[in-house]
Amino acid sequence: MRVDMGAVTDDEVIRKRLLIDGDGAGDDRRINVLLKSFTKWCNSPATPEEGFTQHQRMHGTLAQCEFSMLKTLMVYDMNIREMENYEKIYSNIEENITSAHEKISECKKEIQRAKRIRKNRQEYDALAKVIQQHPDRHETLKQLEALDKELQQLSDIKENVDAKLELRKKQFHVLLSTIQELQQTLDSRDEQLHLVGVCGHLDVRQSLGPGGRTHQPQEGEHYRHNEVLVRGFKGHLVQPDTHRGGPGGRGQAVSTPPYVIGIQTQSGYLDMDYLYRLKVQ
Amino acid sequence: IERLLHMSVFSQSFSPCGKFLAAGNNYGEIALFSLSAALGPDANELSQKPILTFTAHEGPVFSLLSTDSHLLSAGNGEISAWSWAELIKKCLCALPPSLRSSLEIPEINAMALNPADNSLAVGGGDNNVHIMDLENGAFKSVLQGHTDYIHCLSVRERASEVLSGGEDGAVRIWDTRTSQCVHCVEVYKYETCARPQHGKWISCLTTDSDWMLCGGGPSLSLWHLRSMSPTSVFPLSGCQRQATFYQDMILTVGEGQCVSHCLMGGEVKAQIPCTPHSINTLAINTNSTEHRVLTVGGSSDHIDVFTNLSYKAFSLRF
Repeated sequence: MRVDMGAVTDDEVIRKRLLIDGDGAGDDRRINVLLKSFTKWCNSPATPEEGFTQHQRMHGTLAQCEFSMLKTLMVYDMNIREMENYEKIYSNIEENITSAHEKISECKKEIQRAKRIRKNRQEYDALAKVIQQHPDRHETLKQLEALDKELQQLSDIKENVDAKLELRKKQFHVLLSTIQELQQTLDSRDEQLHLVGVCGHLDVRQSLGPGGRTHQPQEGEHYRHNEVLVRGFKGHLVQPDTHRGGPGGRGQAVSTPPYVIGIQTQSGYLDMDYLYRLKVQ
Repeated sequence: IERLLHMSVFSQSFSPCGKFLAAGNNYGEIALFSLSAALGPDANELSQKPILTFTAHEGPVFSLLSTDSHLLSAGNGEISAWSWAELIKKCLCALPPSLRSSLEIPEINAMALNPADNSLAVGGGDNNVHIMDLENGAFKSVLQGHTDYIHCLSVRERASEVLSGGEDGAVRIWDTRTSQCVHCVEVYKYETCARPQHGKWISCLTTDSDWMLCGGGPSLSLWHLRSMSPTSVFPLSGCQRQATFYQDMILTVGEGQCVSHCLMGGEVKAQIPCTPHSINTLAINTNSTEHRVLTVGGSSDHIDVFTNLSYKAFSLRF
């Protein structure tokens, strides 16, 4: 046990000695030498010059020792300051690291956002492609309007043409019917030409006047020819009078059995058909 | 070794905590991989192997889906639900599934979860989509209308609708409340999308509530659901088997040996090569932030893991 302890303590001692003396070449030795020389000088019986030189020498070594002490002190200060510096730098770097971490997470969020935006944009593009394939709405509307106008114009033209067609039809119809009448008149005139000379009473059944009453023609009465209708018969034969002059024309009926033929007016002889038609008008 | 050569991974699903990946293959096995081990700093060969492998079904596992507590796997005619907690604890040895479906549906190709009313839409070989209530496992309704088997399903949350795409080339949109087919889009009839040399079947379908991606025989195309019109067609040569919307991009996998990154405008931004020659499934781990990876599985026993979307990091092996 003791041997062990001795070994340990020896090691310790050696280590400690090495640590202490690790400073410079023989600083510890210098102090020992100084101490020895000081004791020798105190106890030396030597001459005052020698004593003085010894004294000076001792001062020198003392100064050397002080100098080395100062050096070590400064080194110590410097170490402390370096440590502080390093601490500062260390904390600075730590801050930078944390801020960089934060920036990284921010950027990651940004990337996510940007990716989402890109995805949305691509979706829009894809939809836009599909939409582009369909024709533009304005153009289609314009085309529709133009087509509508054309349609309108064409229907107008059609109406006009139809109206004209109708009108022509009616006119032709009138023309044809009047021709037919004329034909008939000419045919009937040929038969009745010899009956004109017979006179008769006019029995006016109905007049077209506003009252619509039966009217017996009086002498001197004026009739406007389009107001008189001769219908029915009375069977009188009347002598045709000559026209008496006077304002307006006088119409006298010429009737023969069995029917009244017509009216002799100033403007001419009017037969039944014509008179009937006049009534109708 | 031969077995490994012929292996195809058909489906993947991430655990609700995001730390595990379950993959189903054509032998009916489901392998569980630990993502935290594989992505950790001391990852090695062993961590790329599954921590648990078990046989779930006799036939291939075409579809895997994760709910909050269970892993649903669809085999040949039945759906099994495995509890994630138990799977993670690796309680093996004759692990019975917590639930087996009562109805026999031949060849279930796709499952989709509708979180709104906690129901599962199952599409299968009998041309119908069955809606199952997850709480009691009973089948609520059947959506009939397809004339051929169904490849893929997707749920449109905002409008509470289910989209289904099938071999008959039609994408049908069903209203879950009335169980009626609201729309029927026959993609192959549109000249811009149709590729008659590949056929008319629709094998991948995904929706983003306003937009829909569908592809397969016809080219992968982006559709606007409101106007029911195709807005962009993607010039990818192979038939696409799975596609997802991710942030502002569209990721899609299919017959080529790569993952294609596309923009919604219709251009293909990048094609990242990966190990399997023909890729069947693509999954993005959105359940966990630190293990946000993309995994890709296909006609090989390797599952590629992408930590950064631009390149393949490593592969998990069965």
